[in-house]
Amino acid sequence: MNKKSSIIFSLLSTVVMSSALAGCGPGVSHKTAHSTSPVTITFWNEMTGPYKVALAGEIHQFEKSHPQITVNDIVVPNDAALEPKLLTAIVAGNPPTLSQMNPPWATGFIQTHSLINLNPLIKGPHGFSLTPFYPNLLKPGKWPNGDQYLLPFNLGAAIMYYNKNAFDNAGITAPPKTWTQFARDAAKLSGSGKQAFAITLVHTYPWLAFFDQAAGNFVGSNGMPNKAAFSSHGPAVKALTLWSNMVKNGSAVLTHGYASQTDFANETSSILIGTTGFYPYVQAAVGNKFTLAEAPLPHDVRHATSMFGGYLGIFAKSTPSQQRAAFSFVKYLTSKTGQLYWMEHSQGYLPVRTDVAQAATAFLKTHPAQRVSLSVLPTAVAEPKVAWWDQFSHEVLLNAIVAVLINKETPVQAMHAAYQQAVKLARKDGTYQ
Amino acid sequence: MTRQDQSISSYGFWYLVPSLMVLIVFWIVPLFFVGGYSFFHFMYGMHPRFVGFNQYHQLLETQSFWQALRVTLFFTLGVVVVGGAISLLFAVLLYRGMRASGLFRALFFLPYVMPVVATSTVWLWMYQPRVGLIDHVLGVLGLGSGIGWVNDPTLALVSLIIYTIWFSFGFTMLLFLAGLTNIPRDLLEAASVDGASSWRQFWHIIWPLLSPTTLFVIVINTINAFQTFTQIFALTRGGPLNGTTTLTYLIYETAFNYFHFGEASAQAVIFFVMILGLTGLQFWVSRRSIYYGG
Repeated sequence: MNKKSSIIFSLLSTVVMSSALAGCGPGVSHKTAHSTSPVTITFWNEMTGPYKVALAGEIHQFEKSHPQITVNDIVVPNDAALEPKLLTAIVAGNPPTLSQMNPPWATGFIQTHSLINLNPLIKGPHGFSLTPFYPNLLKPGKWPNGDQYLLPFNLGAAIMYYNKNAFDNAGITAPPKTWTQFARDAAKLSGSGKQAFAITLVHTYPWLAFFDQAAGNFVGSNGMPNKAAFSSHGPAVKALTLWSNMVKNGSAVLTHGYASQTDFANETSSILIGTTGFYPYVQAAVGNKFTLAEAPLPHDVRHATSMFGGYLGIFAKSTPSQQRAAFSFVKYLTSKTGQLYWMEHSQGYLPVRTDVAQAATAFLKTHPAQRVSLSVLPTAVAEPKVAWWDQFSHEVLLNAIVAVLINKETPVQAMHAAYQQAVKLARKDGTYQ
Repeated sequence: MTRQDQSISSYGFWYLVPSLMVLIVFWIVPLFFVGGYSFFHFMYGMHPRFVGFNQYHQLLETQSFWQALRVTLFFTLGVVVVGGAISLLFAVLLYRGMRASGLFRALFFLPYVMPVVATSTVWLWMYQPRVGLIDHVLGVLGLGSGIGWVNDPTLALVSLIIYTIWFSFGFTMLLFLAGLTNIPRDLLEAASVDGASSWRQFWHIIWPLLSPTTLFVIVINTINAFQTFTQIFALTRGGPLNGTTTLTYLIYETAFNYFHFGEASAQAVIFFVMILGLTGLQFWVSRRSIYYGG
């Protein structure tokens, strides 16, 4: 072989080997297993810390009653890691059998037929009734044509944690019920370098709860930005003004990341707005320093709070036997038994069905955070599913709120600019819901 | 070339095949894909639409892109110039025989071998207003408290630069130290005998002879600064108000938070051209003004 042909051959070998390498990876078997033959399903989820233990318990219970099914539990730390990981896996043709996911992500997955429609299985011989589920929790998993692609699993609602001792010392006998009371109480609790309300803005949901209470809705019926929500006298400006005034008069402070929890536990603040998912962490941080109490968020035009947590979806790439096994698993997790176990052991999440609360009376008596959160669950609002929402919420809206709170822009200016950007995003990304 | 030489050369090529394969799969092929994607507008779940150079045009008209560019340049300048100067200062001190220099060398290098995520998290807590260590110390000294080290859009970038210098200066210092040990001691001794002050020795002997190392440090640190990601992710997530969103972080956000792969590809291509151009410029300057001895 001369030098030239040797090099060409080497290059060809390289390309062939590269292609082989690129095509490597676990292939998907299309062999259909009998319902009685063993089947393994892979479940990607974000259950870390105490939730991991609770989920392991659920899986153990399920595997005991379904000995032919093995659940391979893969924990991914958070949304920021799970969403791109899922996307990469789908593009590579190797998604898990089922995964925890947020409805806005699922929009793209459904467009590409990556998720299965659960309706045929729900209505099939091994299906179950959706009647006991909270309608507002089912809705985000349902698409406009009525197909149910996702089922709610680990959900919760934002509530108000407060330092009862600080409230007592300030002569406040009950937690605030309206915005006016909220601002007044926060002012009473502040002073001497302490600001009562430590604002956390890792996500926009704490602020969105207030926006929802002011009867706001950023997405119009056509999927485009709803101009009225951004207007000078609209709900967004109203909610921003409330927070901005509180920062200006020293009764609220903008914190970074999850520092609001540290502030609250260290008694430098006395009000914390958070999810029930915070509960185990807040409780551990507070310890015996003061009495931790919980209350629904104050209301304005209406009672509303933000919904958070994850839904379950099954991927179409899995084999029919895996899909059936995954559906059995979803059925178990969302069943009355599964949800009761989940609420009692996860220490933060709420049941997605209305029939669990009755069976958990004893538990709820001793777990006030879950009791309060459960009472507001029917008013919980999920984030919209439009394609432009993610970037709008994480970038445009977050920046607008921060700009107002650090006094760079007025609420009207911030919302005017946010509307322009929202329209641009909607035109670029489309409005599919 | 004899037949035996050809055979050896052919063998040599075969040994290169595994590395070449990795290079093709993980570098060259993705490079072409990124170039191709930059001409399409698409996000996951949408059919790609050919838009030609539209995304490049739009990018150049987007405020967030120019802001990210400004942040990147300011960050790079801070890390390379200020960080380089501090590293050089400590390298010279160690070279001149500072006490316990071995211990200090190890201490200064230690942050560099620790995971960035871990040390960034520690710094994040140090930076917290009201509950952070820095705020506490400043408060005790009566220098004020409640400073928004990571909450203020301008200060957050400075905080990021401070962390990055702390993390990387040990490595840069070692590079300078290696360069310094190559400078013949007798030159410095001769200058000293002739009455040259420490400053004159540094300026007229050390600095010119250290220029090849300095160039290397500038090139490496510039590229590293341009590619910085982990500490931004851990400390500020690009905020507040995009005040710490560098081009690398913007590409990540565009691609993996908002899934605008076409737009992110266009950003990546522009960024690639920038780094290429800057590195080329640095080498062009080096050929004119770097002293390589001889």
